[in-house]
Amino acid sequence: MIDGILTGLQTAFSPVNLAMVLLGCFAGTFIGMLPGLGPVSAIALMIPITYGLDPASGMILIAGVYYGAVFGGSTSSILINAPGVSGAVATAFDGYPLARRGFAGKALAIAAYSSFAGGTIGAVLLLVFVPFLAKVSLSFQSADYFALMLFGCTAIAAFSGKGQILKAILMTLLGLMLATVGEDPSGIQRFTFGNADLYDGISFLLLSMATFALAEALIVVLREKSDAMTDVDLQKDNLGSLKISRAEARDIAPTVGRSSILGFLVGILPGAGATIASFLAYGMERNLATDEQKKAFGEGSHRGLAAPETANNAASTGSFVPLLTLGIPGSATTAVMLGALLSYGIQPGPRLYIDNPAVFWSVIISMYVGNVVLLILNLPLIPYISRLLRVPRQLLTPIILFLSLMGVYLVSFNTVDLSMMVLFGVIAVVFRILDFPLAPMLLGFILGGMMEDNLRRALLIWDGSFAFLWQRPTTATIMAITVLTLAIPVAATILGRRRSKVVDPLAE
Amino acid sequence: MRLLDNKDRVGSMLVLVFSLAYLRYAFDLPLDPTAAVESFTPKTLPIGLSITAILLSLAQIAISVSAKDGNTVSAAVKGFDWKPTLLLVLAMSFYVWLFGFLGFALSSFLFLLCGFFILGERRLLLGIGVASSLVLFLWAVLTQLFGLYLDAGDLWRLLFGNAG
Repeated sequence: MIDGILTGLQTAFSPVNLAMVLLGCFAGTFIGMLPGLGPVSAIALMIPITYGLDPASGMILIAGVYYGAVFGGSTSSILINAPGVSGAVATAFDGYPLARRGFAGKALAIAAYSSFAGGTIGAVLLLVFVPFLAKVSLSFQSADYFALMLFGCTAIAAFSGKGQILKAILMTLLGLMLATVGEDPSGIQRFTFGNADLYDGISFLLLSMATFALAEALIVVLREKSDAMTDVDLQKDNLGSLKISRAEARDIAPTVGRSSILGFLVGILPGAGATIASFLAYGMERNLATDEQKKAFGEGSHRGLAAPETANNAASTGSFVPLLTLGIPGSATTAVMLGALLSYGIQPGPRLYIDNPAVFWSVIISMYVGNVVLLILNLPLIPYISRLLRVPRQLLTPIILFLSLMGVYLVSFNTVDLSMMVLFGVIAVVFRILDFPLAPMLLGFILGGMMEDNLRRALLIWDGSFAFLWQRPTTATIMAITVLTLAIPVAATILGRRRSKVVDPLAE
Repeated sequence: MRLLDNKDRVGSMLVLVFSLAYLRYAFDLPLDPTAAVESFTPKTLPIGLSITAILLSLAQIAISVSAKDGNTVSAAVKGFDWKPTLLLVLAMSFYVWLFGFLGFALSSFLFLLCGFFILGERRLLLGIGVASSLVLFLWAVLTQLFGLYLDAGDLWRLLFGNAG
């Protein structure tokens, strides 16, 4: 492990990779700050650039973009009450009121310091958890992997919110179905309809760019009338002081500690991610607050701002645990990262730790470096970076659409991919309007191929019998967790409905 | 029409239609003779997935029918600015369609200019300035720095031969 860490340090601190972290953090901050564009879109936009780099540098750049986008999302959340990322929605609850009261600089500083602390504690926990889990998962077989992938697919559905579970499962199935397009391992063409452009299947980059970057930009245009942004807010030049006092730091310290651990643990769960972590942390702090402190929540409470900011960063770090140890993405962002790793020819999972220690450790170390970069460089530059928010939407949106299309074209140099991208983008907009979540579809799409391979292999080993699902202890345990993960929210929904039926007649 | 004015119902119907079509083609997938006797063939997963999706989308439709009203499509799209969005989609389609003929530089420049105009930017000089500088910058970076080939387009070749 020490050798691995040293290799990682050497790789992460090479001048090229330090430049990648810097570039990633800046680009991520810029992109993440734009309302409607989150880390997924930011990463998807950067992936074509990383194809020219070696895998470690590419992943370091992507990790930097991820952190930068999360930071950028918080900035727009605080300054204009328009979270660029869903994980930064809770940040706006107290961040925006603080900014309105003239403490935008202080709010940004609290957000940055909390994010840094969350990221740091998360990185330390990651350093402990990942090698341990990677060692455990080395004993996994195809059957276990199949069960794990099934768990990954169902977990994201289970965490998708009230009334969304079935819809999320449907979208996962849609993703799994799209993943079967193309040539299967036995050489049979599936759903290609004789079109040579489909022989290699649908590219994950195309799908992720269409469903996130393109669809987000179109949705912003669609909603422009209904939620017109107040330009008055964008005119803010003076953010106020970026300093926080010692008393303020002491006040938020316990919040930061609690939220870091909570955020990291929630982040590990596949499907939970930064959004749930930030809301949970906000709720926890509100519940722990005294009656006097509670009054400040929603009005610009420092703790109310620090809690979600710490938790979403710790959760972002935690979401790397299932990706790096099991090869299973826990969120849409890590799903896109998994796609990027696969396109470099790297299979994430327990073998990554052994086969590619440079990639494995350098990514972990560069996450920490990314946090430092955000704190030391991005925070002081925020008054300048935030001017991007004043670029007129009528110029920005077509540029985003153009860059998204170019991002896909530069990988395949095929205009058929662009046509498919426009089509998928429109379909994604329709599903967004209908409130069908797109992240499970992307997750299903990325896991589809691996899931089928592992199922095929497991069935081959078990002579075509599905008995491995209950006879192999590890597989059975994962399957049991999968069933529970799905059953608990479903049972809660049914119980909730029954209760409301009982309450309703009484109310009448 | 009220039957279709529910987000969950419409979404589930879309998935249902897709799954039915997918299942229909899944049955038609060719198999090599050895695969026919195997327990897991290229058809297995597609058929399993589509049947599951069909059942679940039917369940979602049934739930949406029994649920109280609300969650309507009409409420969800209220206040939406359709015109510029549809025009942008049209502009993207034309951009893709004309890419091979006009080439990277000209088609991208025109797409950006159209996009700015669709979204209400009427300062032509500003639009031309932003679009041309972005396209030129990207062209320079991609071709000169990264050595990538960007299609000059049939029009260019028609006018100037293969010099592009």
